[in-house]
Amino acid sequence: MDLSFTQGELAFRDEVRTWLHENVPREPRPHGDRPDSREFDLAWQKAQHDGGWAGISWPAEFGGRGLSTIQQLIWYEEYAMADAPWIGACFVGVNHGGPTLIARASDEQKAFHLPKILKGEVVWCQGFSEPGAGSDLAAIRTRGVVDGDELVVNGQKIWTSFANMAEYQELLIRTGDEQRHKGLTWVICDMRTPGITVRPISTMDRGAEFCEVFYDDVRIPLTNVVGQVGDGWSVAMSTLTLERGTGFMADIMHATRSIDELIDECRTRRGPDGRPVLKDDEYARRLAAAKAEITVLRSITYRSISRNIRTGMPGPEGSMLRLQYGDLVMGLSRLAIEILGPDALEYIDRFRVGGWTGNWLRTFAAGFGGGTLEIQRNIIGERVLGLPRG
Amino acid sequence: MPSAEQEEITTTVASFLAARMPATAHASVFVTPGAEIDSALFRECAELGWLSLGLPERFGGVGYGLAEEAMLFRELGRGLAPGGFLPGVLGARVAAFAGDADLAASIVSGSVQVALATRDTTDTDDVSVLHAAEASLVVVCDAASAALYSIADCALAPIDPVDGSVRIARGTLGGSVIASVAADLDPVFIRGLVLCAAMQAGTAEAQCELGVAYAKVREQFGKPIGANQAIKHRCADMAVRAEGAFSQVCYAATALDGGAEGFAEEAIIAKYYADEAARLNGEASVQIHGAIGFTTETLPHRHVWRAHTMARALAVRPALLDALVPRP
Repeated sequence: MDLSFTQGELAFRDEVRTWLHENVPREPRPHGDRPDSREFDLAWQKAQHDGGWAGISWPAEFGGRGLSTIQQLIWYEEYAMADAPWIGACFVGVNHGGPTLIARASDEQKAFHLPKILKGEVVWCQGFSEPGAGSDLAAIRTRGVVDGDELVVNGQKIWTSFANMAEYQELLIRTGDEQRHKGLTWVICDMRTPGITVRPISTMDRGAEFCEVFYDDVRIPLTNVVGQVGDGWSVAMSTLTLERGTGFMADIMHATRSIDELIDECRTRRGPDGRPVLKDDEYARRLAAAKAEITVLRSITYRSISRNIRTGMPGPEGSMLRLQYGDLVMGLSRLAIEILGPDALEYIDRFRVGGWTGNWLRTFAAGFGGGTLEIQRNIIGERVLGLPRG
Repeated sequence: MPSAEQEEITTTVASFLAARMPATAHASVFVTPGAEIDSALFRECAELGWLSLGLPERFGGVGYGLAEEAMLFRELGRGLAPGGFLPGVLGARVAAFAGDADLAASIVSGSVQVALATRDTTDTDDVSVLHAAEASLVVVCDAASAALYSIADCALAPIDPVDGSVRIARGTLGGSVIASVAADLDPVFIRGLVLCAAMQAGTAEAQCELGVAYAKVREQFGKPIGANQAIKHRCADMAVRAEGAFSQVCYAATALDGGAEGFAEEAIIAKYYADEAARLNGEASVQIHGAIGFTTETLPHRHVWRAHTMARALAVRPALLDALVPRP
């Protein structure tokens, strides 16, 4: 592990910091189902593109910034420290769909889609999870039947973030008769195709990005298939080998910032006995323990990234990071609202200053988003430690 | 991530420990009075560089960084090694940086052993002293400075220690300071926190390995108990804590070696987290072993004893947390 940065990297950090300082939007991201959240996210993506900062992990030949792993790390650290906005509706396009296209799509598909994603012209969503296929993704049942030069799709997806404002979807469907990971196909679905119905799901944190998507004889041209028909699982997993764990750094730095700000606030904020919260041994030590936990998570991430740089492959730590992060952010926001006392009776969305209640409600999803913490523990137990399957 | 050179330290130390002082369940060392470690064996380890790995070459050391030294101490923890290697390393630094080259040389050679004193409260000279049996010197340190005393001048009485493989005496520091060094000249205390954390990380890893290995072979109701999620998830949590403990040790050591701002805070976090990881993994490992884990026929209990003892060394949980978030 090398923590020292070269002169070039230090100069790069200055460049990043300066650009972010001058360009990060001053107003908070609109929360919930306000229609301007899409415009906000796309405008910020466009600003990053115009500044030359779009697709920082994308290779330069596809319009990306083509940064080294260390430079990506610097970017995400500075991004969090500059309080730059959550990526929001641009997440799937920039961080998942786009990289998948880079890895597996045809030249025509790349040429059409990649620039639109980077320029902030379109929103992508992800059609993976189904009511019967959550943590167990290989259980998906939404069917596609080849009819001439089209796929005819019927079924249902769920937890599709931003489906209600997306142009395109990375859609994983069952096209063969095989079981589990075989017989799946990864296809680009135009969300304006007839037969698609999107129903937003209302969630406990008053968020509105989650949706259900219903497919009723939706006809998708076979030219939209990425990779081969029946090879969808390997296409869906192809982004894993691109992931170096740097993206996670932004979340960790954000949490680090949050705990430091909370500790600062506790120097003056009065607790139930009228004294500053930090005069209270219990609160002070719980805050210190939370700070220690997030710092350790940063160290695990650094070690994981340096291992990736050495071996060229992601290690098994991904599930460890997810597990630790999930437990940690839930604990941190719980501590925060306890300290807030009566102020925690008021709902304040997570993008606004002091938005701990909205943040706390949101962290309930950290227990299952992207695979439940129980599944993460299974993965660690079976794939890392070699314990037998149940 | 450790370099190939650092990995080699791990392999060398681990195979020496396995051959010459293997950790055993029925360790006679914890029921027999007398030496904690044979003095000839201690000197042999000294010749291997265990007391001089991180000491600058100008003081007769090997001149590696704290990161390499941490790899050694991780193995000492994992292997339940007896002997005052931690206070030896710290004591040699105090002597060397205080300008007493002869004293430093005799500590580094293993001919003079050092014990580790931790103040029972910050405002007195009442101390608990680890590895007290064969030591003639005692090192005591805090965030401001580190000092060596003659153990003969201190009023210490041996106690029956929880971990019989670490001989302990309690009492009061006495006599004059033989050598001392301010933290801004050499951060002995902070280095000690990282090395102690490395030992505790080794303990946390050992408990994880022991628990997982047992969960794979112990069968009940016709299948290995590790196939049950209640067991598997405990194992996963152990693995995360072990990974966290060692990752933080690496970060803190590298930060100190590189002179990075905030290395003291990283070291404090390393000690806090590794103590917790060693303790919690001990509880999980014994629980996974079930009744056999309660007996002295398996190893987990020895790591429980060791984790408990080392958590008392240098700085304890509330003090570490208070150093991290000071009161206004």
